[in-house]
Amino acid sequence: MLTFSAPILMKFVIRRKYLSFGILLMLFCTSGVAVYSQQTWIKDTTQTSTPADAMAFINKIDSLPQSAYWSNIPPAMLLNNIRQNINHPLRLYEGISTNFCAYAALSYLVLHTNPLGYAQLMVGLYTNGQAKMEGVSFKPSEKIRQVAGTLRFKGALDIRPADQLWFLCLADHFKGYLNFFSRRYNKEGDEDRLWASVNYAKFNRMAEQLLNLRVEAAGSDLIRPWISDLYSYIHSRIGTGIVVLYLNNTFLYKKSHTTLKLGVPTHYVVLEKIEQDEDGLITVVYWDYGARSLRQVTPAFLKKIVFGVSHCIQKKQHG
Amino acid sequence: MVKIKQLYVMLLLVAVATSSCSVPKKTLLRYYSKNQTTLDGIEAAYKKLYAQRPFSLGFSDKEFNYVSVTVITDSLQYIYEFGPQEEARLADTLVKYKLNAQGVISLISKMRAMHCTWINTVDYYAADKPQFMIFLSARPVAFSAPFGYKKYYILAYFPEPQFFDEEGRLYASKRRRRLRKINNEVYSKINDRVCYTISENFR
Repeated sequence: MLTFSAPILMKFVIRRKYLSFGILLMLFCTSGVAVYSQQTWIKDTTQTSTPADAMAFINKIDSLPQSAYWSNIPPAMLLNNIRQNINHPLRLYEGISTNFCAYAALSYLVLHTNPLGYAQLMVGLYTNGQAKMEGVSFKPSEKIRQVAGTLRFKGALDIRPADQLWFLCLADHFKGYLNFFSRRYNKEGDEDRLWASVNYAKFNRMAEQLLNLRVEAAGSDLIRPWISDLYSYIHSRIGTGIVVLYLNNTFLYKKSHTTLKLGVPTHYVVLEKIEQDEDGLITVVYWDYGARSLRQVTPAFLKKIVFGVSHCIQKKQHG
Repeated sequence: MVKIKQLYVMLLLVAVATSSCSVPKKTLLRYYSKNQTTLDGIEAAYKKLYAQRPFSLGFSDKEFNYVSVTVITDSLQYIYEFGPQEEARLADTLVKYKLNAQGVISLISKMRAMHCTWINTVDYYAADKPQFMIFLSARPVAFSAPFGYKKYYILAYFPEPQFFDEEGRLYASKRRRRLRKINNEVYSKINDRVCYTISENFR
């Protein structure tokens, strides 16, 4: 029997740790994370629709038979959930302690830009087990199809099977360097781990590919954006598109009182409003966890927590 | 001789590492039984105030000086933080959002005295029906063991009796197929309605 002494084993574990860290760093460097990535040319027009278009599509469906692909999702619950999302997009909830926040922010973009496309995609996925939106073809794995509808202890996500299906499909399809060591959904709880995590470049890529949006991104996974006046930068973009912020969550929602905090971003929020008063305090209204929140922050705090600013703009056809 | 010494060191390290996980459970139960009236009183007061206007309370610093108040309305959640010299601002804000200012300030004092770090309402689903439990966290010890990274005592107050196995672990239903996890933590029984865990996060 092959045995290892404790020091050799320790050295091996430490070396493996460094190796994994090195590989992650290398993947980060090559992941196409740009401080400023701006497409200066406009390729085509972004598909847009209204909630009324989406509701008309859903209401045309008399009855949806139980899907052979999604055995844990009853059709009536699926349609109800889709209707809810179309009518109340702000109530979309990523679930307690999941890593679905980026997919929830992406869903905000989808439901505000092309709700009809979303409804068609969801019904297509349910009926055929695969579907396409813009250039993205979703063909979820069997494991995903089994798990969707069974996630529990995630708050309101427990009773929203369509959202479970949607988040799991997005995490199953889009991959970034953070998913390098966990590419497949293996067991319950993977939705809370690296399998579902989203690095900044991946988020921007998802928005560009799934919605054909032009994404003007500033920031990265490790280094804050080099913008001297962050407030003015964000404020100038809020009216011309949807702004998604990539934040360090340990400061935004403090969860422990430890002095040392991991200085990396882990959370995505959709910014709805940003205003600075005479005293310099900045009031922000943002959307996450199925609700809009308002809080006042100092410019220094804003700079400390923001690692990425994604300005998502609809591509308009030139006349 | 050297090997025996190394073995003792190893055993000592293992003992410290494992004790840091098991001892806090006993101290938590001791903490609860010693302060049961006050802790249950905090829960009851919060429940009453929450019914008037949904909100959550917490302390954002180790010294329990800075209070974080989240007022929940239909359209927005207002998140505020108040420092030690801002009692007047705190009272004004509570009045502005039609919260019972006196009741909330008294609750803050009780929480500070008991070293409670956070209180809020958490929704959960039993047989696909929404239910609400009260989540209360406390950090009663200033010092924690070097290996004891889990340092918050968490109490979950359920509105009705829950299901447990022989080991006292909280289950989702009478059939006891799945453990009911809250924030990914497994909870254990204190009594039919109150459960506990030790967590590295206070909320």
